[in-house]
Amino acid sequence: MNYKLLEDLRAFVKKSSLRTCVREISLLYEFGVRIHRCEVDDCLYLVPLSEPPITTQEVLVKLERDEFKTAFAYLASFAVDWDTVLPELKESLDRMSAKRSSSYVECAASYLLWSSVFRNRLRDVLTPQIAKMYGRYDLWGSTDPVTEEMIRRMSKRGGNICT
Amino acid sequence: MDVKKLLRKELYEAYEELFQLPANTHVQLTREEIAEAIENASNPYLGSPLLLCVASNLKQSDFEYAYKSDPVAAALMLANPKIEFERNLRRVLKLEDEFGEVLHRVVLSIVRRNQIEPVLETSLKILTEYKSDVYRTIETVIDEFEHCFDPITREQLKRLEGRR
Repeated sequence: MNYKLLEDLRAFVKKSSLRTCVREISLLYEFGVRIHRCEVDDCLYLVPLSEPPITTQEVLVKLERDEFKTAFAYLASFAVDWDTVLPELKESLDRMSAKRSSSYVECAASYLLWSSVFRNRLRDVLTPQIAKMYGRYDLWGSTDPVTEEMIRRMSKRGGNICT
Repeated sequence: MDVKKLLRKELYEAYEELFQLPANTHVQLTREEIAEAIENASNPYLGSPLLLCVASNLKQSDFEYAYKSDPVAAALMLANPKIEFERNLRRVLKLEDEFGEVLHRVVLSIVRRNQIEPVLETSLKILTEYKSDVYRTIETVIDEFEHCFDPITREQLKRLEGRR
């Protein structure tokens, strides 16, 4: 991708809603658009398009260093083995709430929402906070109907779903 | 001037306001207000965290707390003359978490700090030690806020950006 197009994409992503961003980046990914790895850290929503892709090991290192925002955004990379990362991810969510400020946690959660929607693994990380964000960002239609029903129930009840 | 009106503005407008404040502007904040500004630092819509840039009673211990709880809050504090500049700038640049966003705030803090003491040239040297392409962030900052920089700052930034 040439410099001008990349700058336009970066500006577009920064100004777009999460809903628009999910759809556009998905389309670009499907059409095989890729950007250089070094461009991704300036705009974490471009993670899925990274070439070479971000790996499982990179996510684990970020989680270990408590760099939660970056780690959660990196999960959107299709080269990351979600099941390998999941136990560490769940642990890190508790750690993050204890250590970080509320706006940091909110921002990190939005990256996690983004990544999990992108990877179609939203159910693994669904919490009342994430469920509310899904509605607030109007992401309806971005994931499967069963997960959306769980989100509706969780949003109404404001708590975990008993199974 | 009522500096606390930054509280009521959105982030972009609050930055515009900040760059127009005289170099000696300061405001006494309560401990709760400082804590709240740190808590809200990563909120992309709130201007109130910019009070950290002008708080006259900010301490190094507040910076240490911000450094652990949110890199963005630490980046904002670099604009405050109560915080030792160079050593803390190097520390913030070592935080790699969401580095693009942090670097953007760092550059804005450098611009504000430069209105108080000449730090722009030194800062650019430090920035390029940690990240090779800081010029794009400088370019972004010029695009967004050039209209509210004083002529000297504008000239200095253009010169730095021209080195790309």
